[in-house]
Amino acid sequence: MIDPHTKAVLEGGSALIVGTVDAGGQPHATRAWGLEVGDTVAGRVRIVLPGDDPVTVENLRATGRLALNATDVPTLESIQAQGRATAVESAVAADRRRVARFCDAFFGDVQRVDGTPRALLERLVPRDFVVCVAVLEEFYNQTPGPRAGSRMGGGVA
Amino acid sequence: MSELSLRDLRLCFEGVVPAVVATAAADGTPNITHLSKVHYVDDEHVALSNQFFSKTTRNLAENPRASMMVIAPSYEQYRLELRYERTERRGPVFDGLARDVETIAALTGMQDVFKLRSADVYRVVGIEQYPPLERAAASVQRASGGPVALGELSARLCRCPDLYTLVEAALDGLAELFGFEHSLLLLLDEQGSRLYTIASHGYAKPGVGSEVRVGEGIIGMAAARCTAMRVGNLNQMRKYSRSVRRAFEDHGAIGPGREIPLPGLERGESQLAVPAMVHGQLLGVLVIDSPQSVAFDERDEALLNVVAGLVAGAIEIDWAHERAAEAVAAVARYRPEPPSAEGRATLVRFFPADGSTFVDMDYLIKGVAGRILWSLLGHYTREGREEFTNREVRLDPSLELPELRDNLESRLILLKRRLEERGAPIHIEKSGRGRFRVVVDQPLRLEAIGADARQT
Repeated sequence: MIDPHTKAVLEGGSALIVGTVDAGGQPHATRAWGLEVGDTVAGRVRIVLPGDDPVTVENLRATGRLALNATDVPTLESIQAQGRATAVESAVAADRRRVARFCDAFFGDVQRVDGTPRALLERLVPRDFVVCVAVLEEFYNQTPGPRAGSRMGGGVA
Repeated sequence: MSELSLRDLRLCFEGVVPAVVATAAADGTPNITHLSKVHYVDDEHVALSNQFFSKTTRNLAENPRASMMVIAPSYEQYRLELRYERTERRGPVFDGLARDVETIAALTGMQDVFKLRSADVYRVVGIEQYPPLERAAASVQRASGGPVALGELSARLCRCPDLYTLVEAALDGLAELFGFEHSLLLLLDEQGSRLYTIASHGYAKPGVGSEVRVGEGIIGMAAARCTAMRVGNLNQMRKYSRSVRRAFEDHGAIGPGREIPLPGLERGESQLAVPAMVHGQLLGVLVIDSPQSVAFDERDEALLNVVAGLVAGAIEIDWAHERAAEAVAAVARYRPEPPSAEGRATLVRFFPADGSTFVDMDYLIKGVAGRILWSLLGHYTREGREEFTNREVRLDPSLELPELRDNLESRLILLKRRLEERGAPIHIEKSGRGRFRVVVDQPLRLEAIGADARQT
């Protein structure tokens, strides 16, 4: 279950980072470049990931385990979701449009809050994308402070 | 390890852009989080401060492998493969991390909340740049400097006839010779609890007279620790600090807080504050600011330490000379004419409770400097006195100056600067070693407000 606030944070241009793990337990960090919540009840999402990061893709296919963190740039409000990949697909035109919208929102916040020029931020953007279809099952508050790590009400066990 | 070394990535460890760390539990559940700062330990190790990210710590106890992403201020991104090696709770690595944590806390007065529990040290077993880009030069750019410039600044300071000229020459020299366009000199007050700004260079508002509590912010921490404090990511530190404060307030753990207004650039990114010390005693703090992130490095720190030492030495010598001259200073001089009652009078209001002084309703100064002015103007209006010796001011019981170290000379400079800044019709002029003159352009009306107030 993804509640409306969590949905807004996930889709709204927060900094998105994704952790995956291989079969031997080696974790791997990467960035995501857009997210769409498809089904709030089932927790189904479509996450746009770098297409030139083969380790992420291999890990998702091998174990399917993923952790996704969304952090609001101005406030550092941070949510971590844990779930499983159900498919890894090639990105389509709609996904590329999503990347463009995400970059506008995310880079706009960074530019406004930190004063970082967009041209610098563009250096992080990968050349190619893939899409991970996943089900997010558990949600945790990860905002720095005394409640970091606590389970959020919207999650399901 | 790849051809990239951690040393090549050192600007990534200034905390300008938050890093990312991914770990995994024994059952293969991954965890990912942002980190405000990763600390460079040596060419093979980095360290993370352990305050809140307990899931990361728990995972590492089960599975020592981690994946980290760090970003340079020029936005090259690197992925590091790590192996957790050890946890330190004392020693130089822990102390370095603790200092950073305390600095963040000092920005919002949360020293009691932010506590470093441990420093987790990781061996770096792999580095890759991702996406692969051409790397920018990994060094801090500076306008000029070097030993020749330092020699020139030293020579200029040696030629200064008094403290007033010296503090100006020091800050002007930092801009002209080293390209440090924004600088402050603060001196420690008589109680050793506050620093007050005696001179500034390159700010929209000069801020002379503004105060910092010892222990507050970067400047206050430099004073409290008597050690240099250098940060290149003030914006991220403020953001992180505010976020944690909000989280604690929401949790009910602490009351609503305040961001501490400190002298400096409004959107400063880098600040370097070094203690000005002489004979093991702290006299003040010399500060440089920049709107650029990671603007200062260890060479700037070394340079500023030398300049602060020169300034502190000069202040000490000036203080000694003033004291020696007081013994032979001439008696006070009186104004030839009694004060005129005609024309527009300037109203000087004084609040004995804290020494706050207002000139024509505009705030001028408070504390010791305010009391000094009030005392001088009292003598001026009652007795027509214009000339004073430092010694008699020092012995004035109403000022309650400490016997050993009273900062009188620097208080007089502060007062003189504030009067000039405000365009007040009252001036303080040095008339010789250990003596000075009060010059008043128009009639004065003195008014004391509050308890023990006396109207003149």
